[in-house]
Amino acid sequence: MIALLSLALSAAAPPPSVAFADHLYDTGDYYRAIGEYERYLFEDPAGDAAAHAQIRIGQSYLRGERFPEAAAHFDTIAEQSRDPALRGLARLDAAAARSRGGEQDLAVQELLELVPDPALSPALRDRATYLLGWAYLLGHDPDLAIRTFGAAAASPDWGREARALASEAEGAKRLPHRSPLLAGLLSAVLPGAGYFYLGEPGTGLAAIAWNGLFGFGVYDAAAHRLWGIASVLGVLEAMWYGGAIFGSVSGAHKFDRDAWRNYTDGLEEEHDWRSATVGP
Amino acid sequence: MIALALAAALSAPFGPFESDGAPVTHDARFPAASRVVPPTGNPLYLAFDVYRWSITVFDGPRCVHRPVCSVYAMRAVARHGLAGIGLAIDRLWRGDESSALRKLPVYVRGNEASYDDPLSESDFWLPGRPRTRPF
Repeated sequence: MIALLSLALSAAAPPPSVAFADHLYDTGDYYRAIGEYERYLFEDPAGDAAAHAQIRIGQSYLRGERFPEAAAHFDTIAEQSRDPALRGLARLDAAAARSRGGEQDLAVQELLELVPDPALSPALRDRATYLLGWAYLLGHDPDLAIRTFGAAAASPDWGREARALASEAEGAKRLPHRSPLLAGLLSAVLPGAGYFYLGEPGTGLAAIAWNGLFGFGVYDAAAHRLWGIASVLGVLEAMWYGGAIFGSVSGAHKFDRDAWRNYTDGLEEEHDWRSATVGP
Repeated sequence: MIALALAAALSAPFGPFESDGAPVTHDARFPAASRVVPPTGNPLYLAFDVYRWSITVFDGPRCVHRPVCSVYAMRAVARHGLAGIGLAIDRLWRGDESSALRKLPVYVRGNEASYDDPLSESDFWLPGRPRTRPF
C-alpha cells in the first residue's frame, strides 16, 4: 500500500521547471532566483533548461551587481560547456561582468579574443564589439573606443547607440583638468591657494585661516621668547602647512577623477550600457 | 511565542539583495572597512584614542562624514604613514564635496545622515592602492 502510494505520489510530481525562477528573475528578486535555478540544476542537471539556468545564475549575479561572482560563474560555464554557442555567450558575459566591475583591461583582453571567434553568432559579435567600445572608453582610451563604436555602427541592435557614442566619445578628450603639481605649488606658496585653483574657495579659506592662526601663534610666541610654546605651535603649523599642500595635490587628482566619473555616468545614463552587459 | 516570532519576522528587512534602488545588499553597497588595530605605544594612535575617548565623549558625535574623521585619520596613518596625516588634515577641511565637480554620496541610517567618504575615495592615487576604476 505504502509502495503504491509513493509510486502514485512520484508519478504526480511535476517535472522540474525554471518557470518560477524566471518569474523571480523577471521581478528583480535575483537572490532567490539563483536559489531556484540551483534547485532546477540539482533536480535535473541534464534538463532542457539546464543551459538557460546556468546562464541565468550568472546574469542574476550580474544584475545583482555581484560582478566578481558573475565573472567566476561565467568562467566556469565557458570552461565546462561543450556547446560552442553557450561557451561564447558565457565568455561574453564574463567579459561584461569584468567591465561592470571596473576591470577594463581584462574585459578588453577577453573581448578582443572573443570578437573574431567564428562560433559567435552575428548578434553576439555585435554586442561584444559594442561592449569592447565601452571597455575602451571606460579604460580611458577614447580613440580606440571611437574606432570600435564605428565598427559596431551597422549593428541592427546596437548600431544607433554605437554611432551616437562614436561622436560623444570625443568629449573624453576635452574634460576639465587640474594639475596636481600646480595645485601643490600654489599651496606651498600660500597655504590653501591650491584649493582656490581647484574651485574650492571654502576649503581654501579654511586652510588659509588655520595656517594664518598657527603661523601668527608661532611668530607671537617667538617674539615673546616663549620657545616652548613656539615649538609646539610650530610642529602643529608644519602639519597644517603640509596638509594644505598634500590636500591640494590630492584634490587635483580627485578633480580629474570626478570629471571622468561625471562624464562616464552621464554616458551610462544616456546610453544603454547596462542592458548591453546583462544581455536580453 | 508564535506572535512574537511573526512580528520579528515581519519587522526584519527581507533578503540579502534588498536595498532602495538596486537589488544589492547593504553590505555590498557599503562594504565594511577593515578594522585597524593600532599598535600599542605609538604616540600617533594615542592621540587619536585620547581624542575619541575624551573629547568626543563630552563633545558628542559631530562629524558629518562616514567614517568619522578620527577613524579615517587612524586608517590613513596606518596605511600611508606620514602621508596619512596629510589625508587626515585634508579631510578636516572638507564638507560635502568630493571635489568642485561632485558631491559626496549621502549615507542614511535611521534618522541620521552623513557623507560617505571612505579612505579609498582619497588615497586612490597614492602608491600601493589598487585602482578599481580607471580615470
